[in-house]
Amino acid sequence: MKRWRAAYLAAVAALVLSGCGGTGGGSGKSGDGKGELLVWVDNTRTPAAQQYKKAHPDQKIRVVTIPPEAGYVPTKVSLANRTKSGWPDVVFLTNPAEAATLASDKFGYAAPLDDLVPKSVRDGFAPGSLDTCTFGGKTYCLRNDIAPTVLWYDASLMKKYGYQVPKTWAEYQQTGLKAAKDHPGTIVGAINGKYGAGTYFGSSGCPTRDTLSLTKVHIDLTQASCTRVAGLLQPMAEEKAVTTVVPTDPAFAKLGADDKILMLPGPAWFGDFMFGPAFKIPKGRIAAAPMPTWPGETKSYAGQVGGGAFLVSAHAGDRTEAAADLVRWMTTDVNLQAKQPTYPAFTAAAEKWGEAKSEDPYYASDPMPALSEAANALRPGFGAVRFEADWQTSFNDTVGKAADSGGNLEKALASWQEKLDAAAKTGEYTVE
Amino acid sequence: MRTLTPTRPPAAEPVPRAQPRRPRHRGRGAAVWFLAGPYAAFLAVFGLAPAGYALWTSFVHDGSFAGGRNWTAVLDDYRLGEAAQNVTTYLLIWLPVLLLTVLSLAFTLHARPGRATGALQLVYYLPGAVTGSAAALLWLFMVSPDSSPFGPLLRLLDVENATDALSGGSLIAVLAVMGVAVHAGGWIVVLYGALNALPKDVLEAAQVDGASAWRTMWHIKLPMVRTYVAFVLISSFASGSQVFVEPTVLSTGAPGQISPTWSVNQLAYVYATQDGDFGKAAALSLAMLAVGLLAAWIVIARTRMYATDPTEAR
Amino acid sequence: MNAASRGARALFLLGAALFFGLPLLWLLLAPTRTAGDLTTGSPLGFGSLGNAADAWAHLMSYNDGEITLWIGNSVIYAAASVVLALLLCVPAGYALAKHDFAGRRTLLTLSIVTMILPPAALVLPLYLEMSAVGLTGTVWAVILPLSFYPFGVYLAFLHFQANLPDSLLDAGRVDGASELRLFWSVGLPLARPAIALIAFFGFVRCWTDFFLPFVMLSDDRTFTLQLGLMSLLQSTGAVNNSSGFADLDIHQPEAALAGLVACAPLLIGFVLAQRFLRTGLLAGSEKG
Repeated sequence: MKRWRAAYLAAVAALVLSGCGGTGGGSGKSGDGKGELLVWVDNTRTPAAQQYKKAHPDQKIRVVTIPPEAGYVPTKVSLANRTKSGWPDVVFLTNPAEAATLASDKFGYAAPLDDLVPKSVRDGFAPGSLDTCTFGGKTYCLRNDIAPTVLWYDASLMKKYGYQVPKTWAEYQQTGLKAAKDHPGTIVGAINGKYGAGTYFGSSGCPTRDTLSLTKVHIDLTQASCTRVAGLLQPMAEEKAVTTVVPTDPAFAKLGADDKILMLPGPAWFGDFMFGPAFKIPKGRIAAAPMPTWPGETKSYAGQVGGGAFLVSAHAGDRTEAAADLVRWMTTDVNLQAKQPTYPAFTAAAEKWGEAKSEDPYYASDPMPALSEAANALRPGFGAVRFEADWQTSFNDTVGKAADSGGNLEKALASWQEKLDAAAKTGEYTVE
Repeated sequence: MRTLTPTRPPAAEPVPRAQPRRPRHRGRGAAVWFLAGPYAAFLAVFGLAPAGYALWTSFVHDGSFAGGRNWTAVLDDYRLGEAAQNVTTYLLIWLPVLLLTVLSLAFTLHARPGRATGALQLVYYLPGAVTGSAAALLWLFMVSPDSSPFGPLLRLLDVENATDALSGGSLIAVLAVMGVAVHAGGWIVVLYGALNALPKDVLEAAQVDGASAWRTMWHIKLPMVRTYVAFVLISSFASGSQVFVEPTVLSTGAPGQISPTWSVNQLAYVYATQDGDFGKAAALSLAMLAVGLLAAWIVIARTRMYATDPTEAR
Repeated sequence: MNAASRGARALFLLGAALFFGLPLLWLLLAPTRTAGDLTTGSPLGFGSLGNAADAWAHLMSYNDGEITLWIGNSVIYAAASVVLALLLCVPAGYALAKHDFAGRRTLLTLSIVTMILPPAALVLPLYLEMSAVGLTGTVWAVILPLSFYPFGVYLAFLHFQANLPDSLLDAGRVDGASELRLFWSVGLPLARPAIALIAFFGFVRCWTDFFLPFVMLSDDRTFTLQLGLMSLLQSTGAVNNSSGFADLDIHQPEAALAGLVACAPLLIGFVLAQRFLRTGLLAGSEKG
């Protein structure tokens, strides 16, 4: 019993000690250090921010690695809004859709960059890539990387089966149906969440999230640019030539291991981060072609699935110039961007980035022509919206479900429209 | 069930029941507040004040008093209906299964405590110890038939891949199973501890009397740990109706599969985080609190009723 | 108990053990395997210990071994909160169980109310409180709110109510002991199992709590292990390949290893708590 009382006393002592030892870790007072530029980036961008800091000894800079978690930045910003302190001066968004939240009146966080970053610099970005950052004519962020879609395919399998790489979506459908029939289990695409909606509907220009301003969005799934996608996918879904399995599902990796992925239209980063690391497809087999063309068009248009962006705080005060300079450097420095893992949004940097990609022995042939064509042909009308998550899940609940159960995809579009309307309204948009 | 007799075994008669003792001593004020005061202060600062402030924010919009505006906005949100439906279905499946699992395992363990009892309790607790992103990875693989040790079972249920498991009706089943795996272990320990604390002489008397293990459990042990079962029920109902971790974890593993507002509590989090709308978050949270308190009140009232008439205690 | 029912009992317990144990067995084996083997190999295959060592090296490559810093932070946060919670809960539970005083009922009721209050409602108020006293971003912003533990008070209350006979206290009073003295020399020595339970559940809560650190801390160097790991695993695409594109070699086996590191203290805590609980909650009073 004595022991127990001794333990209780020891506990008091331990508390005092641990409390004292702990305060050292609490130096993270953020925000209003005089003149200190507070930079929030994800882990991948941290070394570059540190490099900038080293190159600018006159400017006090504090680099903080933030979790790339949905909602992290909005939470912190809205708390800072309440206490009127603690805003980061520069923020990297792994999901640029959050720009729509942070630029909104309610948050009032993102500063328009039109006067801070010269037009000549902004014009250097891949055409249309800054549309994501632009609301009501003002540009609120700079894109770091973009994720245009291309038609990835397994060159060895195509050759083995004697197929041609399709140039039009009609050819794509034919090839897909034939492959599914002749080589059961083979797939030529994935229609799930952002992969399905971003790749097919994005490339077709179907207005599922066409932002007109910070409070207005155009959604109209009755348009031909939407129904033609439903028509394209309908027979393919029935014959299981396209799968509703999400590409991050371990089962998708199994498809790769079993040589069942013949083609997979998807974002640029699939090349480096999915086919090899996740699907385990050996080197020398994967190649990229431009997205097939839609009827009546000769140009191949790309959808988008991902990419990051930088924001500058509207509360940066006299650090605004410095913040803008850092953002400009991070997004446009050719040597820096050439080393980054995903496709640079800045065109000159993308060319340099592509030099290494062209020689990458993983690919069956140089993927860069297709990638840069895609980067220069982003289909307009794919904006950053505050209902991004619902946009994905509502696609799965309607179109995805119909594809899975053999339902009618065009009819499913009507219910997708309903859900998108509701989601947009909840996100404080008026739908047009 | 057929062995159930209307009379209680005689062994149970002399149960020296730990009567809920009314504290007898008018505490000498200073000493009592020296003991309970610090906690009361923390309760005020970190419990009541925030709760009061939350109540206030639920009536404020854009810095000015807005009456029921946040509350109606929450009720009008199209996501609330779906979320409430999901949570209700989840509770209907999860809560009975959890209770049954906890009770049956705790009682089976206690029927014959042995060397392995401690080890088994540890094993039952294991899934609850895995949290966060690692849990996302773990459960994604657990529901993937090709890579899961439960693969044959999943195939039997016609699940071909994780996308399958996490969509449509199977999602709720997956979440419920996961919820049971995560939560059962802790409660088994608590309940087993309570059983272990029962007066040995009563149990021995029952055994000498020849009461079957089943009857000992049903007529003696269960009534005696009734308050603990009520506690499990109240806490579990509250945590089940506020389910958050399981769907969040699974949607980290397979983004886009599960709506980020699948449950009511998740919707409250989305208000508080992505939307930065604390008024709505507070309103919805307080509504959830009300549901939890109502359930707690019902359970407490019912167990009291049982207490007044021990023969009714089944 | 006849052989058949004994067999059924063992079968039931072992079946349950299989259900609860297999996930962790998988997690335990995962770091020894390669990412490819996890998806295509047999579910419970064993790779090599070398792989596990590599996995650890890969985890350490994130921000110069920041993971060790997070482990240290978590230990400090959890230890301080648990100790503080015990200091608050045990005396309070004792007073609530053994004394009748004005406000007792209110205190008990409010404890239950705050116990089941959803955290989303508390984010902003707690943040504003901490901000008002300039503590946001410091360890105290996490430690102080976590040390308010109504569940622990309830456990202590139940324990003292059931296991500390009034006669024992009355005997002490006859001897002229003061109320504080009674708590110190009669109540506290009997509190052993309650302390073990509260410490364990309190530790689990502090160690795994995510939302409070998420809100209060904004510098990665002050993160808890949970928050840090989320950051690490999400930014490297270890859980799903679509979430981050770091050049680091952090994949599923690394994520599994990180998960094991994060849950090991909980299991150790469980075993320790079990040693105090094994003899049952009554052990103390039997002696007393």
